[in-house]
Amino acid sequence: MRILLAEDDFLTRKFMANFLSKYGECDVTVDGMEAVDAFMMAVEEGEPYDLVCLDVMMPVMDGYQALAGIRNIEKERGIAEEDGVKIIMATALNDEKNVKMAFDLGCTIYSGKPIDEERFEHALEKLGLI
Amino acid sequence: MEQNLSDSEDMLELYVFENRKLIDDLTGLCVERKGEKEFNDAELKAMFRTMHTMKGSASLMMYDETERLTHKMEDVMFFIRENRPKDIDRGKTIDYMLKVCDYISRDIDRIEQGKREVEDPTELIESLDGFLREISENNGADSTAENKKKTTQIYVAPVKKKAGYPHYFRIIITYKPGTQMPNMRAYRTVRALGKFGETVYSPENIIYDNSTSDEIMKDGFSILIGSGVNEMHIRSVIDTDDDVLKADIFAISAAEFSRGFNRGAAKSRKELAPGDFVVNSVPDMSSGVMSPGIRGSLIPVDARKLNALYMGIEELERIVNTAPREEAIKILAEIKAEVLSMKKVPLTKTFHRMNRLIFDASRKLGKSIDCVMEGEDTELDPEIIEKIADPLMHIVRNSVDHGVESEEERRAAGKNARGRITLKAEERGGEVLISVTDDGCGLNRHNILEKAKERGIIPQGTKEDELSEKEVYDLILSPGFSTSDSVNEFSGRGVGMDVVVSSLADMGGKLEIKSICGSGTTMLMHIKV
Repeated sequence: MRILLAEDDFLTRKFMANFLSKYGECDVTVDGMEAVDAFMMAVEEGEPYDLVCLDVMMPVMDGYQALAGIRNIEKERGIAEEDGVKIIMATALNDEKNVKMAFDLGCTIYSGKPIDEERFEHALEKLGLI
Repeated sequence: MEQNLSDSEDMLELYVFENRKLIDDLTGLCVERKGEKEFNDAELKAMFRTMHTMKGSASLMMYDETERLTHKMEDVMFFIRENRPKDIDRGKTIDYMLKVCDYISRDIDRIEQGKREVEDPTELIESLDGFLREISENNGADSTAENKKKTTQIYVAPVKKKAGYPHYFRIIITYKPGTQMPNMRAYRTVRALGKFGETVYSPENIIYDNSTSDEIMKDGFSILIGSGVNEMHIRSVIDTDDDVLKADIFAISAAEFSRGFNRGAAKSRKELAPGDFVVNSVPDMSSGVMSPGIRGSLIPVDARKLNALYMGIEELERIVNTAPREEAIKILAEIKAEVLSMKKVPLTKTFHRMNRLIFDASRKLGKSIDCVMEGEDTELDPEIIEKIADPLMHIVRNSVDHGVESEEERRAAGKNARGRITLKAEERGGEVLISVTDDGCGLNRHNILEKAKERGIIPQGTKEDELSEKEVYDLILSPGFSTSDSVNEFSGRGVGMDVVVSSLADMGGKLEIKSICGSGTTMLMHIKV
């Protein structure tokens, strides 16, 4: 499985990259803009990502903007909703308004931090990713 | 998920709150029309919709077992609603619905306590499945609800950090006049304290924003700390800074600590949008991000009270500059009373729970008992309601088990075959009085005395007429006392009444017992408000 990670905090990035590489090959970016660029590039090269993991608070472009950007790229290429890349937002923000906004923009899994690894894995199973 | 709160709430808290309410309402609905043979449209609609909603939120939160169970119950309700089978056993359906509600209620309790275990619902689901096949076979129709497959979205709740600190403090540091760069001094202090635990502080941007120095000199520097060391230790760390004029240290609760600093409700009501989280500009909702999180406790508030409060405030606005001071003071008092009353909740839900308890217990014991409720709209502080819930339950159980006799016994005694338990609440003279009255066999003075002698509570030689009525009744409140020979799941273990009395005493209340042998008993709780 090809995974794209966007996380600006150094320590968290190390942890997330390590955690996600259990499931597949993980590419790392440090802000929302870089993530969208990487996503676009992968699509153009014919090797799209299966899973994108976005932090919310990042420089240049935040997680919500990156999420919207990725979904727009898919829409423009005529990729159906069910076939879109699975996107995870991982953040310490847990209130309902933020979660709803993420889902409205097309997020697949919203995980609070610290990440509950067991349930996170269960969610990936439910979505048929692992 | 719909919500009427202006601030956003934590996903888990919201799930617990909303689903508890759904379960309570649904349970109430089930018990309300318990004798009826036929379903009516309104309740079928409500039951289906509730199962559907709970299935959806369980799916979102990945509570798979609850999702499977509610899905099956939803299928059952869908079939009944669509086909209206003529010989449907309403009682049996309601029994299933109540079992499902109980399962979910237990699940919600576990979720709230952060417990990871789940209860296996397979047996109940298979039983429901059998029921569904049975009713659909008899009516030859298709039995599954339509289920539009939509893209799955999942919320994974964060791991709960163990609340592990022995101490929580609020610290306010005041610096001597003329102190240079108090913001950097504050930073140094916070870093030193951080070694003992977790800190949150205000103002926050002390490292790069020098204007915080003015704020610190004016209002002081505040720290909330979850600490492994005690106050003395903390004070000694702070005192190493000569520029500190004084440090006020208050012990606080873990809950207060996790609520962080209130930055003013106005900010958190802002509608957030993508782009608000770009790092470099300190986000407006930093109080929700940097501090451990503003966790409120959700309570339902009667909208009419909010309206009354609002109108009171409007009136005050209108008259504050013109009318005499006494009038403004009067309105302020009214507003204050309104706010205080907002926290109070009617006893309705509690009484309905008792109703359900009587319903279940009487059926299990083969007795027929009606439950009558009076004054259920009497209001109490929810904290008090929580404290009296168990004692009340115990008293009701006693009435069902020991108070009300079986049908044969009642007929033989010339009473109605159906027994009656009356739950009454009223506010009188600075107290709330809650009573449980049954028309059962009443307290038997002789039996009580015999049992008390048996248990060694009173000396063997005590004569019947030596003790007053009150003294005899008080005997049953002794620990280890029980006039029942059989212990069942409802009562008879003799561990209850003394706990009831002490719980009430802790709240400044008391228990009064009135009884007429052969006619019935009243247990009256006096609660100070």
